[in-house]
Amino acid sequence: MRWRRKRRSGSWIAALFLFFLVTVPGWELFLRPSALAAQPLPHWNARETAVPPSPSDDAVLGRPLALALDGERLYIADALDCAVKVFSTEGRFLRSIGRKGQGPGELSFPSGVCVSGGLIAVADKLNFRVQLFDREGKAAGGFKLPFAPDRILALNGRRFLVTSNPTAKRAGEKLLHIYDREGGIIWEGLEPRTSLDPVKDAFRNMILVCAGSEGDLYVIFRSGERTVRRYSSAGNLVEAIDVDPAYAFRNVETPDAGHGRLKLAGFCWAADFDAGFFYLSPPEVLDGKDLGPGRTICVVDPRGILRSVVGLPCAVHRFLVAGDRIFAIDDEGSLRIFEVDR
Amino acid sequence: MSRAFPVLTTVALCAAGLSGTPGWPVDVRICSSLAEALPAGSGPALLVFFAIDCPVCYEELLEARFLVDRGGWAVDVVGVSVARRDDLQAFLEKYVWTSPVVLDRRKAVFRRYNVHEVPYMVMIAGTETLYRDDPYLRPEARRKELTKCLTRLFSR
Repeated sequence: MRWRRKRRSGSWIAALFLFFLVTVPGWELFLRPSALAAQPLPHWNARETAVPPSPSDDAVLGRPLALALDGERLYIADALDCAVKVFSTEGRFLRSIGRKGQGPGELSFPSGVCVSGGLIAVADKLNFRVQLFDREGKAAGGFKLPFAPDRILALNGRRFLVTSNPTAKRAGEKLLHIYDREGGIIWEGLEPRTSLDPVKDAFRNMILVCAGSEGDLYVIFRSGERTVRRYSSAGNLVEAIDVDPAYAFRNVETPDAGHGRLKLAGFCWAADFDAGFFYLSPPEVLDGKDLGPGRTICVVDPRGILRSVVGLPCAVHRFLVAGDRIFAIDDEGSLRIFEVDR
Repeated sequence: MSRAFPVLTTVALCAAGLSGTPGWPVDVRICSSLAEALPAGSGPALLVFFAIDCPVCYEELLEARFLVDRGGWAVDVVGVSVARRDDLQAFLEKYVWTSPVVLDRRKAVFRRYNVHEVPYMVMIAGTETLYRDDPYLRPEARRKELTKCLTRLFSR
């Protein structure tokens, strides 16, 4: 009698399991998060859209380091030309903002750009400041920083996230800094990893940041860690997302370049977040000696599960995803636009 | 008059040094292509790919000139840069660099010689590439390799 009751309850559980398995798509992943690794991943193709050529020398990108999209305008921070180049979403060059210098409206090695409330914010690296421009390219203020800014992101509530590279010269350095539009510091966090090897530390402290959809932000280490950290716009660590092991590290041992050999576990060369998905580009191993930009972009869901892979016709240094479009900077520093066939 | 002249000259030179440009006109040569910098029939040339905002590149440019002059080798030293014309002009005037420099805004020369980082040196003779920097070597080791290549070339 007791055995029969047990068997009946067991069959109920089995029926319930079968019901979930059939009706809830992807439910099995709760049991086995890397289940997708065993299945062939959907491979999305990227069709290239030709960028119209421009006769202007200003349209050429010298050393493009960051992209930002605002409606129909694409902004690219060009560190070599000390300017922000403005393109249409079709890739037509519109104009250049800023020039080399230290005064208002002038830039020195702009390394990051973002758009917030109609203003273009630029991480003016060698001038140690954030500079603001209006849409017409006129200087609209800014604020000084106690460090050389690297990247800049617009967050909710007229806030900016500014990242920095550790110098190992100041105690208590942080990698992330949140400022209000007037330059008031709101929060600083994420301590750099330190060891006795400054070269190793430089690699280990390279981070990528992406703006989330709710004013939050994501931090991805470029090597050595396969976790995506999510922070609120106030700087609180909300969660740490482990990325699917199917998204593999790219391991390389660098040659001795005066500072000894270095073992690197390359994780991500460039990243973006769009419509609830992470787009992570794994680095490629070059000549077995170094890591360089890759030709694929992996689509990872908010739980860290690898969902598909986008194949590109060229290696990309930086990219920005907007729906089915990918705006990218290739290995030669040119703008490339792709349409993704999902 | 004779006593004041050296004093005035020193003051003028100091003023020029402080302003970042020499006090006399510098005849810089900015070429729009490699063909313009190296006309047909030119001998071997050492291409130095550099960026104007990179102090290491500037050292490499000077080192290349110094290396070739010291060895007495008949090699043209040609700089290649993607900088804006006015920025490049100011840079060359500041450092009194009168050897030809190719302004390669569209990166045609960079692409042709597959150059992805600066500073980087390539030695060519016509269409033949005689030497390329190994990016995984230290600058001193690269220079050693280049010297070996130049010695081999001119001892034929």
